[in-house]
Amino acid sequence: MSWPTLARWEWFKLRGRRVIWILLVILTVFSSLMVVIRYADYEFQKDRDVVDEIIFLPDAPVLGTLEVELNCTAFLAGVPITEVPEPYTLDDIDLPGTGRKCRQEAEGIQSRLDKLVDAFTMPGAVEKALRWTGLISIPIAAFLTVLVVGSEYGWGTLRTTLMKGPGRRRLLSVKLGLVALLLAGAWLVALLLIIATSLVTTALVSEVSHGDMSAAAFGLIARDLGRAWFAALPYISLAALLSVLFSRWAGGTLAATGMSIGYFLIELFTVGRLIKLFDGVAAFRWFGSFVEYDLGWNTAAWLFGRGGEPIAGFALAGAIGTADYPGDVHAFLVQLAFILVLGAVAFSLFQRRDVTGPSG
Amino acid sequence: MAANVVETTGLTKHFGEVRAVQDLSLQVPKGTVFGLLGPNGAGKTTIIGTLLGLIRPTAGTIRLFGTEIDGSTDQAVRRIGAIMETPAFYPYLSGRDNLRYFQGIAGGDDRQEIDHLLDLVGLADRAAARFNTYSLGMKHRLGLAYALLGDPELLLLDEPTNGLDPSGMAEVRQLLRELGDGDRTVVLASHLLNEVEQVCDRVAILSTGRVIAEGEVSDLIGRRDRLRLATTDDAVARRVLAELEWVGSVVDGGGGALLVDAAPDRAGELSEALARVAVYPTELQTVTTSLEQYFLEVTEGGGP
Repeated sequence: MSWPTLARWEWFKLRGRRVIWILLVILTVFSSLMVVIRYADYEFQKDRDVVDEIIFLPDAPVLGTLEVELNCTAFLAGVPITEVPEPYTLDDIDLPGTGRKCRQEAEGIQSRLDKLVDAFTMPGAVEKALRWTGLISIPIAAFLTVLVVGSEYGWGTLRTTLMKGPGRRRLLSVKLGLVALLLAGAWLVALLLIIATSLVTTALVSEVSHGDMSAAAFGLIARDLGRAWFAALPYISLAALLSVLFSRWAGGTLAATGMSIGYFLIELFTVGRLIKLFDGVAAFRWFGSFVEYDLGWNTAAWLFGRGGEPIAGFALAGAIGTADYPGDVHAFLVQLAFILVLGAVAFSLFQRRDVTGPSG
Repeated sequence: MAANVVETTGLTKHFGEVRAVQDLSLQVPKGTVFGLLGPNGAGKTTIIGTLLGLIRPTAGTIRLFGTEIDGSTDQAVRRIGAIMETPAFYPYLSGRDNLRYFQGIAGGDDRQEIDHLLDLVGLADRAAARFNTYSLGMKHRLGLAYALLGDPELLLLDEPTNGLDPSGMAEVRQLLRELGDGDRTVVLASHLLNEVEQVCDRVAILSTGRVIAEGEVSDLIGRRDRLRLATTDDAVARRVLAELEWVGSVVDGGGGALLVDAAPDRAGELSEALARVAVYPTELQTVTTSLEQYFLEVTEGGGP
């Protein structure tokens, strides 16, 4: 039995599973949605007036400072301020200071609009969408792996399969390889969708145009695609290990799904915060060294560490500004080590364990 | 003598404290229909699992098709068709696609064979239906078709008629007898005595992981054939019989007769011995023991 033949029949079997297609569609639609969201945000923001809380009187003698909402767009366009809350008068207004504040605000908004344009026009749209989709692809890859490996235990079909002699090691290799290939295929579809969405949304906005569309830019796109795909591989190894590890439990598939996705989410929401929390605390200095080799932290570095956009709201990046991401090579090696070590343990268990019944 | 297709020596498997199989030495000659008979928990499924490489033995050796299995059983397993307990298939695939997949991973791709097998097990009409819509009986039939994929030299069947209705059981048993004709070897693990009696040539009776009796089915039954004897003087007859070395136990057979553990072909010698002391048989006939009686005797008594 050759590997390609076994892979062909595994694919014959897997293609009938609706849930696998649903997961891959979620991944591809999400990638496209990232572009649409940026475009919609731009459309929403671009014509809004710049409104700010302007301090009229920095040193009010009686009432103290007073903040009043002011339409900066109108003010900067030369429309004078005509109304002032009592007991103030127009003479109390610090016009130069108000002008500076309004200009700063307008510049900030313009900068934000520029970033949004970059995120829905080519090639920036691909880079930004791939990073975020890369993050989403991790739990999807873990779930896919559990579906492909763990379900065999749950249904008792592992025994029926092994009884036809495909070989344990070869079977697991083909299964994991197929998950990685499915993911790569989904990434390619996602890339095409991102590009198509970017072309459509950019065409809808007359005042913007695509950026650098040279071969070099597409080379970077290919690199980003490879990075996003690679980021999911350690989690495929992890999910495979957990699937085999929990195979003897009746709820093993559920446990493997929960733990592999849970591990990812816990890291996502805690590591950044802990780095921040322990920063400068002598007793927890070891934590800094520990996270250097933490999978989640290195995955974040791999996906977002290249001067990427701030991941505000995502706790994994909650330490931005207080801790530096590891370098690319370091992140790559740590991820590779996780792929190999977790994978080796999974293969070893899969090879040695008795398959005694439906639960393995 | 035919070569052994399956041969185990000192095969032992422990699951923690549970001794599922103990020091099992078994030979299954080529072309036989061999029964593994035992109550639930006797170790039948574990033995088949070890032969298929699904379960690692704690100790002992296994030879399949004359080759000792050391590590991977993949090569040998491709010459084996097997069913273990309730057959498990992919619930979202049809019966036909399940068979196509398993045929494919075994290295084949022959749709005609699948159609033939579906027809053979009576599933041709439901071949396109998803497996999760099958009744238990249909699942077993599909399991049988799965086991027959690739026309295997050795069939290992663990309770193949479980869940079938009586007519289904009869059909499957008939099929097993047909499959066992010729060179193919069949190992049938079952707790159903009449099934083993009807289908198998040889049988090993298992209890708590050990073989407690093994031989030709006809021998095991025949070995236990006894003589029912009524005489003119039972008390004297008992004394005479006790002195004959080829007579085993003598027990009350009910209705004023004795049950004598002796080969039926020695009935003449027995009459002659009694006649020498002027005791004459008033009734003398062979009582055939069923495999069921024999099985109960050896499993309850721990040996024949």
